[in-house]
Amino acid sequence: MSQTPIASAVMESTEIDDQRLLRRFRRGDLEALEALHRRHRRALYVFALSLSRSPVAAEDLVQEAYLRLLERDASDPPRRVRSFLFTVVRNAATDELRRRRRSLESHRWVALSRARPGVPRRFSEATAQAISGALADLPDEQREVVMLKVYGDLGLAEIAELLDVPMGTVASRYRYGIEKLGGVLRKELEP
Amino acid sequence: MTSEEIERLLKSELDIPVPEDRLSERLRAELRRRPAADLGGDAVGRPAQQRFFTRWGVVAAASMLAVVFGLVVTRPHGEEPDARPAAQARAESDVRAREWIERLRSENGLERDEARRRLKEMGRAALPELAKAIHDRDPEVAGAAREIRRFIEISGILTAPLLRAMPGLQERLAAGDDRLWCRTVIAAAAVDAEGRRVHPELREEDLDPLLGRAVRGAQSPPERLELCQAIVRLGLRQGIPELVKLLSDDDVVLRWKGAELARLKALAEAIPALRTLLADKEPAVRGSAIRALGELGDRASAPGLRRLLDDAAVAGIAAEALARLGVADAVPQIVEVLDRGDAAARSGALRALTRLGCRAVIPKAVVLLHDQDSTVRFDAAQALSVLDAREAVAEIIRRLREESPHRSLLIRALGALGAREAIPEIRRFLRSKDAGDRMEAASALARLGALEAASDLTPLLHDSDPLVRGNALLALGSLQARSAAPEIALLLRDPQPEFRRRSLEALRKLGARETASEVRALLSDSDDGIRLEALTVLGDWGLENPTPGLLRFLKHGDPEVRRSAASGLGRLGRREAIPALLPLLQDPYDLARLAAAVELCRLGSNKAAPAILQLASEEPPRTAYPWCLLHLNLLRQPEAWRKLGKPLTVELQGSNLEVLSEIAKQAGLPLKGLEDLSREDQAWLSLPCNLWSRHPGQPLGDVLASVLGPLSAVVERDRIRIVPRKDALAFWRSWWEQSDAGREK
Repeated sequence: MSQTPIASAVMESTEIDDQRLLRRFRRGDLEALEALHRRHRRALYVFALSLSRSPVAAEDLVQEAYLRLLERDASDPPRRVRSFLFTVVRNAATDELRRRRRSLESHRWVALSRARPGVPRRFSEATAQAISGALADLPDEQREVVMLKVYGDLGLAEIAELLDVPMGTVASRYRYGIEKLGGVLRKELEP
Repeated sequence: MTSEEIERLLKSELDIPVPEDRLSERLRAELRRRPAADLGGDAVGRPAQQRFFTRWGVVAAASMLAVVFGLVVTRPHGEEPDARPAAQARAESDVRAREWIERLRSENGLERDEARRRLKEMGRAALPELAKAIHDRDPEVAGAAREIRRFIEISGILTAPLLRAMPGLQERLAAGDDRLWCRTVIAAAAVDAEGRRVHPELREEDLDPLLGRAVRGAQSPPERLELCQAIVRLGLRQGIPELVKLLSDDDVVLRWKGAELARLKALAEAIPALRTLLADKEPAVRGSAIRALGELGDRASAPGLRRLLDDAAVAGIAAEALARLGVADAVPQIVEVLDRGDAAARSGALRALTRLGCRAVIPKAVVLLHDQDSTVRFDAAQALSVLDAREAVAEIIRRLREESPHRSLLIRALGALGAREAIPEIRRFLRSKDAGDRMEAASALARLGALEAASDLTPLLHDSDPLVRGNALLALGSLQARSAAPEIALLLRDPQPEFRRRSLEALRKLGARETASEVRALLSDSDDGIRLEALTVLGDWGLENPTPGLLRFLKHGDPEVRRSAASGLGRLGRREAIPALLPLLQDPYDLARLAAAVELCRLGSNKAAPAILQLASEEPPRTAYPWCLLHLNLLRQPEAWRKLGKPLTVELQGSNLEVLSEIAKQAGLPLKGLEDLSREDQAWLSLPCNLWSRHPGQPLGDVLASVLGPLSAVVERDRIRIVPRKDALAFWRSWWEQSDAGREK
């Protein structure tokens, strides 16, 4: 898949750090594992949540991804640690969804963020609910891109790399998804 | 709002709460749980994964991960064997169960729901920790643990068919008391308005595990009765003791209905209790017990039953039970009941003596043709007919001339006895002022084959009484009175659909093609059933291709129309109708299923076999079901069965055995298997045949089907094997399972 030079450079530098941390862990440095975990757990969790629709299942998926990484033969480490983690989450979530047939679905995707002193809130609890509902209604491929971009702190290039889809596709999925959420927001925020 | 603005707002105002601390803690806990050498901490440079798999083996490692990762790889209980050492597997299950039990305390409702679900998924592996959690200080956790434990225990006994039939049953039973178990068993046995089970797919093994608590949960007498009725319908052998208990209940209704259920189910276990009920103070209970013992064939109860011939309230029932048991030496006592009993007793005694083939009753039966009670009069006529009391013909004719007040049954008896010498006398009654006389005279003349009376019968087509008109129509059709065809065709315009339908039927029997234009007019009749009949008649005469029309009628909203269409297609022998008939095997109306199955047999399609076997196994059995079983002979031995398509050439008379032998003789297929029948079946064969339709012209197969009673027939290439019905069903099931089509199925 073709990448922009910037995306490629970002990925590469991330990867160098990931491989370094993994090697340190292999030598017995548990703090390196903590660091590796901290680097990706948020994005992984958001991704897992967008796929599994269940906070508890998302936790399990993140846990599994890391354990799979650690069990991997040290002489054959994954070429890209972050891609490996996201792939495990996707495959495991697919298996689980097939088994559960999405019988348990969460509609509480997002919550109001903590109030900051002196900054007035624009969203009500009802708005948060409405956005949760709108997110749940998005097609899977739009939802995962929107959630990774907005709440997983990933750029579109990184998302394209992780999902193994062209950048343009990711960008259009994001645009469609975010516009649908915008439509909900406009209704909610109208005076 | 631009995309950037929307994103900024979503980011600043909302958040996805990521449980970062818990994610880290879970990973740390997992690392602590595993041996240091398995993951990381490599002192000697060996690959971590290699050591990990060497220690437990690949399967063991996969199983461990399965337990550790819960959601992703946790399997439902019992799906695969666990290769790990049992103690370790248990320890790991306990850890996981504790984790989920902890989450039952969460303030997040979704998390608590998920924990519930996971514990339920763990199944029995979660039970040890749940047992501890039941005593938790937090009443909500304790309550949830109790409910989950109940759910897991219940899941172990509920079968897949039961869960499919009653979705969510685990949850309901886990939250409910014993009474709910009782209601569940009752609901599983529910029947629709036609008496068919709503859940026919549920079998004994699905409901048996629920029965213990269901019995405890039956609180009121009506509920106990309902449960016992369900036990009978579902064939729950484990429920038999509960059913037997009804027979000694203080509640008279339970004793009474219990005896009825024991009779219906032929419960041999109930015989001792039923014998006790012969002395019950309630006549209704005594009556039910007597009937049950008679039908159960309990000859040991014969002395008790004979004593009850002196009990005015149940004497007739006791007489019939004794006859059923074949207690021939009770005849003198039963004859006494004829003289002194009330109408019910006289009627029962008449039927008993008829069943026992007691010809000594004939003179009394002639007298009883004048009885005050209509049932007694009817039974007397039936007795004379079944006993073939030709010696009474002269006396009956004499009484007929005496202007008896109850002439109609005398006329009926003469018809049934084949008394052609009475034809002139009977013709006189076609002009009687009494509609009953006119009606019976028309029928009797038809039975006597009195074609010479057609000219007197024809005016009755315009009789003021609809029943007389109907009987005249049938009689003229049956007598093949072609001269009456123009008059019958006039009735095709009768305002009542029933007369239009019967007229069509009569014209079809007469082969009156000259009335085709009148029949064709009915193709646009307002009544769908009539249009269908008209189409079939024209098809029979080769004047119309009825197939496309009949195929359309197979999808009609009226089940009777669907049934008639199926019959029509089968009768026409249109093999192209087979694909259209197949969906009818799933029709909600049982007679439509029956017609489709039989017609498919006629058309040589073995796809009918499973439907016929299903119909013949249904409880309670319908009269038509044993008849449909016979049609499987069409698939197995079509050539031999065709011999039974010939018309009967003589009037059938004598015992059941004699009638069967005559049918076999005319078909050229000797009877076999009679010597292997039980004593009861042999006794039945020796009884007089009480078949009403025994006159020539009917196909031998149809007569055979009507005369078989408790028996069935398997037609072989060179013989007819007579077997008990239940053995016949087992035979046909085995035949189907061993056939190519059955094996494919």
